[in-house]
Amino acid sequence: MWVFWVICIWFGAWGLNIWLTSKRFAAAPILAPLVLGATMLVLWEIVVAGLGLSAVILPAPSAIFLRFGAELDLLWGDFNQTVIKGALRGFAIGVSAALLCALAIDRSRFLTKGLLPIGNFIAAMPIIGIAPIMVNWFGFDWQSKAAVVVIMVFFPILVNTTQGLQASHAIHRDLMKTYGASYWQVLCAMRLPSALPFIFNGLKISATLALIGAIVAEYFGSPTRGMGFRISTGVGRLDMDLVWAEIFVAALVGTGFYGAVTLAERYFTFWHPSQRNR
Amino acid sequence: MTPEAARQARAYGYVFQHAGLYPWRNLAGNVRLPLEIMGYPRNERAARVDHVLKLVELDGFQKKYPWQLSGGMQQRASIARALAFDADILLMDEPFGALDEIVRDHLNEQLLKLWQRTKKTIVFVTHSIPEAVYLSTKIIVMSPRPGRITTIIDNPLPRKRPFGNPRHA
Amino acid sequence: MINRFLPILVMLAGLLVLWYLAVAPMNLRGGLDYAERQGAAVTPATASARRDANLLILLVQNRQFIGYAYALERPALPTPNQVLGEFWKTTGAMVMRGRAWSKRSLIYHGWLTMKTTLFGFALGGVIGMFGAIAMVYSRVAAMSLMPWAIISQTIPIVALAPMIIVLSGQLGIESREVPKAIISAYLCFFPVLVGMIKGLRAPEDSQLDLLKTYNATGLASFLKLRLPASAPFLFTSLKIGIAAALVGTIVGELPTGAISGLGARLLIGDQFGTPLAIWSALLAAAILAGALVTLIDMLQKIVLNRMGMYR
Repeated sequence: MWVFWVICIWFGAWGLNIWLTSKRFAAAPILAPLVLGATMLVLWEIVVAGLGLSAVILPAPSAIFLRFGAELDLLWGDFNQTVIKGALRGFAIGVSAALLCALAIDRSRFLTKGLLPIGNFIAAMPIIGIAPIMVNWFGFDWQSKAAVVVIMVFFPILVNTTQGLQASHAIHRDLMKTYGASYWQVLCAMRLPSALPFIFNGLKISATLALIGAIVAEYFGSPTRGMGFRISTGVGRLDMDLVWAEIFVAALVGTGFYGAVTLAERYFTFWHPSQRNR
Repeated sequence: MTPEAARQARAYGYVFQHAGLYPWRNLAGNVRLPLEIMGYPRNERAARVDHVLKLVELDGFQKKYPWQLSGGMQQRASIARALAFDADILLMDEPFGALDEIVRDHLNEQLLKLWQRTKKTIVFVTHSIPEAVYLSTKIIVMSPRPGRITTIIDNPLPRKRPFGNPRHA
Repeated sequence: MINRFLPILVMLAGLLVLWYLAVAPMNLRGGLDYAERQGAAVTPATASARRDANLLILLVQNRQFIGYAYALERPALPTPNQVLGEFWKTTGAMVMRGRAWSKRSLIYHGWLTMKTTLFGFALGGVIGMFGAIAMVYSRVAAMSLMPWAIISQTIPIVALAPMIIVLSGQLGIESREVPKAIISAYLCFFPVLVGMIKGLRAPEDSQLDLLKTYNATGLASFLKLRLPASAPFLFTSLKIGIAAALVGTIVGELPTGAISGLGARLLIGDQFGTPLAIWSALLAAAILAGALVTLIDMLQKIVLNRMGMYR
């Protein structure tokens, strides 16, 4: 019986989306994914009930939301430890260090030519693996998590900023030359603005890396709070409601963080072709 | 005077083949750019920007961004940008080369008016003989590769030239 | 050639020198503790007094013992030759003794990690490519799925990783490979999806119109225009994808007491307090990443050359 409902709801929702997108409503780009998301949640609930899955295997969304509501204090504490102390501080430090570093190496062609390929190479490495070393160096608390995040976000920002600083148009550079502008004038009025789309590219990559770094580092030792700590101990105790509630928080934070960077990008690079006509 | 010294003295304004406006600045911001770099006092900048935008008939477009305007308007803005500071000479390197014929004729007509209003020396590079004849008081003909001056012709046309399509002038 | 590689080599040499220089202050206290146990006259004489002392002063006062910082068994920061030595011990030396497939050999663990990575990469690559085709040809799919594809990447996979492992265990999937490959595919499909969409949309309207004038079918215009046009974009995103797949595999090897793979080596090295094992596993992971990306890069050159698209 429930299988029938699953099929009906799935095709009903898909049909609704076909109708929504074919009518070219202004709200369709927002409504269509929402319909799909809601459908998936409903189907999840029905499948869990229909198969009679125990909460140890896969809890129903309703159970997860109830647990989420009941554990707000605990979840807030974990959020504070992992995101605000670990990820955000590490992100801020890593991004500023990378920006300053990019400005410094940009002054020398030799440095740029030497460090850009190395940075590109390191950016493709599984940097996440340094987590145990950082925990060893900086202890169990947030400092070691921030250190992992600093190193993870550093290279994407460094590489993108360096490329961005070299990306200005010849005609824009020539114009500055005819004005006899100084290095700092050229930097502020032309090269930084034209590097911004690249920098935001790096920031968007780094935003997701920051959370991954902060959570993974907790697997290698943490105080008795934090999202990664809660997830790994929760899995061990088969407390799946709580683990999923923690995943829900992680999803909210990740999406929110990425969304914030995207909004900032739209605000600062409204003039870029990829941002126009939206 | 060496080219470097001329650059330091801001002796010339330059108009390129493409407008080369900064997309992150609006028109007023683009015209203000050389004034900021050359350190003109803040209160003087706005007045100069408004003045030169009026000269190129772009008054009212201060808040528009370059990519919201047509190619001809962008090129006029870049002329305004070159006029904003008091350069002695205006160098124009095929400024209308990338525009279509009709816009080009119109801009040439406006350039003549502008020249009569500002009385600036303009060095104008072009491949079009009608354009050279219509715009100039003195024509310098150069050979292709290596670029050498072959002839200098004084243009006998009167300073007041009939407006309209220069091809029929 | 010299012009391109000289700056890189100089920078690498500089980084190596910095590394060696950093070893002394990083390991100084451990080295002095060791020297004290050997009966050397260290100033100040006790470990607790040294813990409070300024590192620079300590360094100057004990400059004759700096050598100990470079020879620790469990250093905070090993020297590059210590790392290389440990790496050789667990790879080349074991091969020479014919024990390349021993559980203590990094070749064995690296091989397992690579297998899972390639498995996850294939899975993620296929999902990414077919997803891209679906999204380019269907408005509904693009509108309803794309936002979720983006959101899926903003959710830290590491939060989901232990769940995926438990879940697949409960569902009766015995193999340890499958959950790891799923995590790896989860990280890898997105860059492929985005690159492929960009590539499939790369042909200009005029090119598509030309095929229309030939009365070409949808399939023909896909095979003859859109697919070839997407090749350069595809390879670029495959390189990002395979690096992401490796990260996914390593993350998948971390939790729930995994015992094999480079990620598990990191975890075990951490639990047993053997930093050299961690560093050599990291080196192996770096070599693997470099090799995999280089492999795709070579493939790209060959394929694009054949297609006459290589620039």
